[in-house]
Amino acid sequence: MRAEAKGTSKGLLNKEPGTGTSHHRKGTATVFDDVASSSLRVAVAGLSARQNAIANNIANIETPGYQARKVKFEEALSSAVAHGQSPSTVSPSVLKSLEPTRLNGNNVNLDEETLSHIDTTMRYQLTIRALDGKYNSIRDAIKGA
Amino acid sequence: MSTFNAIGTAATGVTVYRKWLDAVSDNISNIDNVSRTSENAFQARYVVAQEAQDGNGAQVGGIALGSAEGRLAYEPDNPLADTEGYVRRPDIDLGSQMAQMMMAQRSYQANLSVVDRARESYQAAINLGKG
Repeated sequence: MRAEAKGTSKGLLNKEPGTGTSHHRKGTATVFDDVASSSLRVAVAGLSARQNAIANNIANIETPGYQARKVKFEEALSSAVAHGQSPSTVSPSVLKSLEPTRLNGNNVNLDEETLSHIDTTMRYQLTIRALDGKYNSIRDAIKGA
Repeated sequence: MSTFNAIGTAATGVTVYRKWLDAVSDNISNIDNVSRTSENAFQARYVVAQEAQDGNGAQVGGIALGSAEGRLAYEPDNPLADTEGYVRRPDIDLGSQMAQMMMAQRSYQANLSVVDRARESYQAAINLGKG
């Protein structure tokens, strides 16, 4: 299961090469439900939630009493994959930042949010590209070319 | 949750800060208003930002008004002056208005750059599966 998760990401996620793109289908799972694809889908959902949270934080950068929202899903996803559980059970969790606030009770940090947004955008694109590679190999298999 | 949620959320921020900019420019353009002592002075507008009800972005929660009393100025030559020679001028500090303008302007730009970066991500998602 883990080897499959690593191999099918086509090396884009910088995992060790050589594990190949073998598809060990199990039980009733379809070609879209392997661990790699569902991890990538969970990652896209989590990164998208993080993008929304950042957009929300920056929209509320001067709102008195607003606490910045942080989205976490990486730890849960990697532990689900490591323990052989289905990654699709993982959903992103939104937490309020407990960092010290400014005088108006707001703790949104613009530098941090901007950097995190750029980082999230890049990760999102990388994940989309990995998913795209996955779908392309399925398409190749369908076409038989 | 709409499909391109981050753009909508950032747009609410853009709206709030545009309204704030409007309020500041209104305050600055009325900074030299003169009124009779029997009337209220021009009251500065302050935009109160709050979190949007649906949790996506920000909204204008209300407008707080500055002092109606303003400050009395001794201008006996002014046609609006009362018998003692006083007129009422608004109590607006240009320095604080300029500082607010910068805050609103930078926040406006920050929200617009969120729109830009979110668009990049969504563009990638739209191209998914094109091969």
